[in-house]
Amino acid sequence: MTGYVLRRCGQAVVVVLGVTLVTFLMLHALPGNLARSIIGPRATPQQIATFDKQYGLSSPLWYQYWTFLDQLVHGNLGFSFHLSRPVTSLLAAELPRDLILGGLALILSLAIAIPVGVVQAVNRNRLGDYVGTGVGFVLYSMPVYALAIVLVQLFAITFHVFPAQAPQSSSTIGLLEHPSGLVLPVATLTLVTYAQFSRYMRSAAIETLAQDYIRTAQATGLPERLVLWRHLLRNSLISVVTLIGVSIPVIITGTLIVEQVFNFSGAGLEYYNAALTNDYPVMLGVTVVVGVVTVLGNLVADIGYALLDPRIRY
Amino acid sequence: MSLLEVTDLKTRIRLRSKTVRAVDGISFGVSSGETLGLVGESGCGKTMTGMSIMRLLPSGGEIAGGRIDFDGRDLAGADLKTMQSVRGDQIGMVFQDPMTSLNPTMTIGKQIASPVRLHRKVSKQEAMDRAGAMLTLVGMPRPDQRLGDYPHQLSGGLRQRAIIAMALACQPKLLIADEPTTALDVTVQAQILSLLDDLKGKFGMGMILITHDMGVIAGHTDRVMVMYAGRIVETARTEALFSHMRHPYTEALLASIPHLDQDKTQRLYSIPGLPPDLTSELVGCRFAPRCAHATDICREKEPQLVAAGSDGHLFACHHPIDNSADALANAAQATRSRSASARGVAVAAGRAGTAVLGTASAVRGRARDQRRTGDGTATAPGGNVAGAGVESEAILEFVRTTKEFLVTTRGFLQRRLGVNHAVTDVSLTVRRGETFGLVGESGCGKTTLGRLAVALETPTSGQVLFESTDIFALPRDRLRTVRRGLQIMFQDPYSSLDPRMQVGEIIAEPLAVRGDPPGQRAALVQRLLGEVGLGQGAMSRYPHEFSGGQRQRIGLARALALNPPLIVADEPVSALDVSIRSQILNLMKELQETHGLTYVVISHDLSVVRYIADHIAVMYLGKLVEIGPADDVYSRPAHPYTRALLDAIPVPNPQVEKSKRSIAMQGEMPSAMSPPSGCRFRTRCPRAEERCASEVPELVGFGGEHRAACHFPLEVPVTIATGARPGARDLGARDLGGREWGDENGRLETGH
Amino acid sequence: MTGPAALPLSGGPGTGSVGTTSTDADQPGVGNSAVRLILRTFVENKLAIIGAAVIVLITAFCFIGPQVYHTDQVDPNLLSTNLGPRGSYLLGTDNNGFDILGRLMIGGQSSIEVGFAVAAIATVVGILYGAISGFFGKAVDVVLMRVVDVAFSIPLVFLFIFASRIFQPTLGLLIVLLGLVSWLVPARLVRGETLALKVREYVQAVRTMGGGSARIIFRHLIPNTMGTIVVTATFQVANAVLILATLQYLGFGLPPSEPTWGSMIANGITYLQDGYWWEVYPALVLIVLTVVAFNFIGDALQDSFQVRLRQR
Repeated sequence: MTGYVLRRCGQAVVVVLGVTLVTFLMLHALPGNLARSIIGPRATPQQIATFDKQYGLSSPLWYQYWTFLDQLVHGNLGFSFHLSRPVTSLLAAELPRDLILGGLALILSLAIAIPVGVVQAVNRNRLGDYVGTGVGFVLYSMPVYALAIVLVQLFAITFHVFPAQAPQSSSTIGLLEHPSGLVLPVATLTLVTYAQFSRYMRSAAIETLAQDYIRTAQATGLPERLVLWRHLLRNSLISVVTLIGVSIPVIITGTLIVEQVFNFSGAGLEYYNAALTNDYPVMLGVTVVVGVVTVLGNLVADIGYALLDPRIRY
Repeated sequence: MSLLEVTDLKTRIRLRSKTVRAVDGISFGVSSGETLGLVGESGCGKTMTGMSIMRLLPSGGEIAGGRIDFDGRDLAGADLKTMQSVRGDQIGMVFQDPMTSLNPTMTIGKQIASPVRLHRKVSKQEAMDRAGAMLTLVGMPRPDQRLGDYPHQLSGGLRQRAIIAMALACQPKLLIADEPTTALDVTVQAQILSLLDDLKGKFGMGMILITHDMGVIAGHTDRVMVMYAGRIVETARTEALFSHMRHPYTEALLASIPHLDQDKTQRLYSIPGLPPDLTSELVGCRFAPRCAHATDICREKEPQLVAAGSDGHLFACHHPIDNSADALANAAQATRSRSASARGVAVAAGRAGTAVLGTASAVRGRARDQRRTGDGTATAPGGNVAGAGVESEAILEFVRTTKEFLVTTRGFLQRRLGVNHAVTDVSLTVRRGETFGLVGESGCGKTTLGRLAVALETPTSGQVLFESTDIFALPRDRLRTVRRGLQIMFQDPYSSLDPRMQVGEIIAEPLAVRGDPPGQRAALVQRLLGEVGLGQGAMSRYPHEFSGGQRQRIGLARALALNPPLIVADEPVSALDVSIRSQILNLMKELQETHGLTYVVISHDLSVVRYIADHIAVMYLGKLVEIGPADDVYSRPAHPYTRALLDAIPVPNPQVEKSKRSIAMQGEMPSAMSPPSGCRFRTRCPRAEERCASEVPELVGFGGEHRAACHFPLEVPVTIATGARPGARDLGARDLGGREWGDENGRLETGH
Repeated sequence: MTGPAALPLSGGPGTGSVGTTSTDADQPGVGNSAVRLILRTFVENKLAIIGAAVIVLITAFCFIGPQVYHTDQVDPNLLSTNLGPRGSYLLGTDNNGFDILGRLMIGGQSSIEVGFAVAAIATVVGILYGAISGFFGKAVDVVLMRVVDVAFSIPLVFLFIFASRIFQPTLGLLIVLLGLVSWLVPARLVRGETLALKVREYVQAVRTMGGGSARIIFRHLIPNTMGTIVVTATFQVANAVLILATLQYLGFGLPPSEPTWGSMIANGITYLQDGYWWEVYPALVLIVLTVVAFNFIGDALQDSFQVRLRQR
């Protein structure tokens, strides 16, 4: 088990290195003078010289990558000349808010998807199952912003139940002080994530239902409720754990769009704004962080899977 | 009053567009303390009968009529709550596949304790104690530790014991065992079946044993019900059924299995065609289309069950077999009654073949004479001589071949977990024109050896010589050419043919690889299809349009396309129904003669190998334990393992089978990752002594080419040069081969 | 006793056992069985028919529509901005006075073109990548799959937005970029299937004939992943339409001069509070309809192929 965890961590390190390599190459794909495009059109020669020195731009490419990695490891994600502040401090302020948004959505979507999936599997090919599948289907086929628009139209414009904008407080605590403003962003992201989970959960449960051990349990006279609880749920849940890892990119992308639509201040919105103003350090910083979070999420999910499933002995 | 009384049970399974009449009006009863055997081919409705009683039909399944009276209530109409109180408490069930029948994420103890808590309303601890007691009862080694184990930590045999413990935890009055040993090795099968017999006696319960194996039926049932296409065709007390069977299907079912003492020169009896499609309306006798006796009345009017004498023997046939000689079953009956007569069992006078064949030794003598005559006259090119070819040269040789698989963790940094010693230091020779049988239980390395022969695996050390060339010393492109002479026929008819290719393309593929022009291919493919008994229409069809047996024919045609001298057949008939097996075996024999083929037949089924092979090698845990002419190995096995394997085969003869009072061999094969030191069989061997643990036994001769690797063999070693010239082998066979046939099916005399 | 030739060449599968009795009548016929299966899926599955019909209708609407219904989508008409639906403008006009109905037609063209083109690129690249990775296994597989892992770890939208800041997006560039990242899913799926297929006995049979890797990959492995491939290709179209719509909405797709469904929504959302629903919902409905239609087809195909796999 320890061996597996160690090896899986080693793998994650390799992938994280890959992610940093990609961002490094993105940086160097910038057109024209690198320093000038990073700092902006009003860069002074002095600034450019400092920048070139800091990133070792005159040295060979591999050394530049090494410098880039070194900076990252020391928590230096670059400096936003546009915002006049280090990217690290910017993200430190924004990420907790993303965590609240994404975390709430993840928990809520699982809380809906798991029971609904099991109920659908048990009542397979009946009306309720068709309705559930249909709803999941439409949600799955909607762009995130379209879902947000529909929710805003319904709950903010037609019936004034919830505000169409996220709380505009700059602090994380301030966010929680106005929970009504959180409802629509979280609901949007929850539905998007739910759409991912629901199809999977249903088919995982159907697959488990077809297993021989379910029949064995029934043959001992176990009531259906207990068959579901003891045998079906647990075995289907194990496969859902890996799905959580896979769904992280979906949640992150969803966060970007939800933040844009609801003007919810977070890393996603920062990325969007940075893109509008060609603020490359912020864009690259967010990309690195997003990549690392995804890798870590997958890592945790895989280890969780190994812990839950006794069959896996590495 | 029976414990269970089923009356006119009808079970339907509704599929998307049609309905399968899986069980179509059957009636039977089971009393306490009695075992009823349910036998038939797959799809005959035997499993659905069991599931109907438990009311655990697959989705779309329903009981369309009839009664299931169990202990005073009708289960056919009972509500779910009643059924839940009956299942696991009053009726227990054991399923076929122990690998999938337990929940992989729950400990064995919890799973066994679950029904106890449910039905007995006891505390957690009491239930767990009961689970421990049950595990002891079913012979689980170290039961208390096993309670906390997960299913994947146990072998198949131990899992099946755990499932039995779970089914019996509440002492049910009836146990339904659905093919409980089909997925297990033959020695483990014997253990499980005898365990079930013991427990039935202990609990005084009734039992329904569902199986396709007439040998299992013979040894472990009191009454038998033969099912065909959802109906009962014959039912009787076990002894009566085997001695006075009346229905041609029962007869055919029995005749199409090769027996250990089958006359190898005779074709096996085989039932033509396939069972009927149960979704369509069936008129007349359901067996009529495949029955040699069928007349117009069979095709028009369905026969009803009528009594044959006393004691509840019923059969449904317009033209029952009477006890006079019967042309159809002559060949088959001959072999069966021969074994019976050899054991001094009274066989009905005038039964086909018995009088002619007389005693067993006479039969053997005749068979050998026939073969020798064959040898003398055979002049076929390529040295095609079935059997003891006097002059035939070696075609395939293993020279101290060893294959070890490195078992590693997956991923980039592969950590070594150990070495699987699949094949260890095996040397043997296959001669041109013969059929070489490779037998052993699963995991013994026989399949790996077969794959080494066709270069699908590379040996870790040692050589594999094909026509005296070391195939693994060849450069790649030479190997590609040479391996065309080494073809393989696979076990699984579903995965051995590419489902996206037409049959014509499949058979022509070897030719295309060789670079034959397309024009030539078509003619050859047509000829091959004809040879394996398929029509020209097959060419443009896809594999899924064919039955399992037909697919094996296609696989054989593909293997033949390059006209190879040698074909390795890996379990060629294991995946097929009994009635289809004999068709394929007959075909293989036929093609061997016409093409001058050499076969290496790999099988766990000793009867099949006995029927088809001239020489036999027995493997255990990667080692060759015994090798020699088939007759010698079967008639006087020298290795205790061979003996135990032979003893474990269920013989379709109640007298023989029920006289086996002890189990052939205890335990299961250890892991090939850490084989025992010295003799690998010692951990299960009744004769093992200290020497066996320290010293690896070498192969020693037992006359002729018969050799075995044992420190304490069952026969006296003969110190004639091993490796043996053909002359010596012949001599050995003649002088030592004529021993009593009586102990062929008997048990291990020594050590018990 | 029984001439093998006496065996009927029954079309019925298996030995008629209850468990394996096929649920659909397999008709012998001509042509590739995968193609037949796809055709039969459409015949038997109502949702697949609906999906196909919707796609045909939307394609006709976008490409034939402008031939019939002429509108000016180049010059703004500031005299008739934000008009509601009426006789001359069936779906009203936007804030620049463009006719919404006509704009929907032009705006859909890029979605459909990108959707199909991206799916084609993604599928071809994915098949080759996945098949090679799965077939050769070992180090090749480890390296190729780590590359996929890396690509999966950076959400696509982030990459696209970045790319759109460096390059001025054109339709061709968008197709190439989307294609370059969309092959990941097909590659993973094809690899998984290849791993399972390569140990099948028919593949081993090719080896014993002396057949090489190319024959195994192109004659056996890839044809047998066709089911998965067709299904993912369908889902890829849906995904490409979705991503494109998202990029356009965020303003990082084609330049503003070219109308797209996504940019129409982005444009109209400002006026949603004013009740100008026609500037948002028609485009939104078309996007969802297109995506749902492709997903319907993909789902139906997946079902059919899964049934077939079970029968195998």
